[in-house]
Amino acid sequence: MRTLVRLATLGLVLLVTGIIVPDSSRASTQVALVKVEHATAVALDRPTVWILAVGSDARPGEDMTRTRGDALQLVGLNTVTGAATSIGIPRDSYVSIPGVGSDRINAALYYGGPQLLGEAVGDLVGVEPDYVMVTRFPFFEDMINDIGGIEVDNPRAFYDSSLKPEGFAAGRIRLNGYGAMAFSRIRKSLPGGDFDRSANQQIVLRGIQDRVRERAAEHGFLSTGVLTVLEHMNVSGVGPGELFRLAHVVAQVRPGRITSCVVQGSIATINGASVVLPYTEQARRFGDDARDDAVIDEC
Amino acid sequence: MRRRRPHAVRLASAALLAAALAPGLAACSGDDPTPSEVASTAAPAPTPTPEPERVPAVTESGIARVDGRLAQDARERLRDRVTAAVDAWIDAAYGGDYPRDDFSTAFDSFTDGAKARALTDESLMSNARIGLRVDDVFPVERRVRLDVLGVAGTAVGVTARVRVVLELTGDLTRTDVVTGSLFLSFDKDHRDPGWHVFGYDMYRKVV
Repeated sequence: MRTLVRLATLGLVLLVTGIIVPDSSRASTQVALVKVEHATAVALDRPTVWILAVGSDARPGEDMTRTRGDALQLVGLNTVTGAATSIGIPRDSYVSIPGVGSDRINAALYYGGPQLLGEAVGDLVGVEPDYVMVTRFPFFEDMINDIGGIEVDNPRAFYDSSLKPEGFAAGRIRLNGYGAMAFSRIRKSLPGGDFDRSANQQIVLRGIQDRVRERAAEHGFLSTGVLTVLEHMNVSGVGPGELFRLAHVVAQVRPGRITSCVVQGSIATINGASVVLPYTEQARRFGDDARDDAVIDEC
Repeated sequence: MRRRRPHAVRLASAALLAAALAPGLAACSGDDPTPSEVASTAAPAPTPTPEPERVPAVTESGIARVDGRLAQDARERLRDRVTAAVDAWIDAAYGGDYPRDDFSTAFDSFTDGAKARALTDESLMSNARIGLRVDDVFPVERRVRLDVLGVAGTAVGVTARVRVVLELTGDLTRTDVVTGSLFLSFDKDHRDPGWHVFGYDMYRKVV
């Protein structure tokens, strides 16, 4: 099909050329059709890299690596194919936290910092993240504004009386920093609650990747982004050179090769608190499917 | 297999050949002479002057932009080291003697992963696919502009914007332009520690 499209396009070019280019007996216009080859690649020391992206609900003055993660997305990037996948984990997933016992998975950040959270997610999904990146929402808003906002495809209209009273319309919408934050955090008005919120976070991640990819060729765009991340995010000992390489990996993800799924579960009440009992077999299936190629064939 | 000759010898031979043939070619011309040519044939034949030998372009390199902090006294050294890594690629991938089919050192300044990827893009990233159809490759332009990411006074990442113009002669006679960006970082764990290319976004066109 792609060949057919290319042929059709070339035919169109030739047709237009034939129509609008003056005959050589009347004018000296010349037309050259130049073949341009293009190749792009970014390579790390392994083909697929896994990053646990954590949105912390830390308040000003609090250590964001010792609070509770409000958003948990395990993101896989395939540097060879340009594929990327995101496995969303409901923050209230009730799991076994190594050395702590059973609790909500987001409490692992409070008990043991990014390392323990990475281990807890690794135990659930079966893929241990190579990196854990923790940010707080005000920085997240600034970052979205810095890249010029994002556009997302919103599958449903929803609102929140305090975060977004006017709501978000369904369809293609533009989000500034605050809008992206609200889009990622609203839960109560969504039919699927925590699961739909996690899916919305993945929609925002797609929008960010779109924007980064679009602007990556601008001089200094990725470097400025790295500096901002270093200033505002906890990246768990990742050096700036490695961040520079990761930024290029993110920029080279191909939009058509992004998949995303949210780990589902049942709602339960434990010790008086509402929790999610995650479908661990499903979580493992996502991990097994995407571990090597960062592609989930089916949610 | 054609005999390989050093580049300088080929250049001198071409200049001598051109100088020797020039008067003969003029005499053989079948075109009607223009007034100026008529005037020049009436005058005594001028002493032929050999064409000045063309000098292959050397890389013109500079730092175009620094994001973050980079110590002033480190800039020149950085430029030289990164340019050396880029030059190593240009020299081995496009330069050298022709015809040839050995481009095994083309990506020695790349990381192992980037080298593996570049080998799959070798028609763009080197002359490997056309090396046996070319007698000579003359570099007309080699330009490198560096965008540097500096953290705490030290360079941690560089985007090298590259433009190389090559004149190919032989069975393939044409001018190629290779442009785009190489992404480099300092790799202290590499068997050859230093600046290495870990990615690229390159274009090649025939003009």
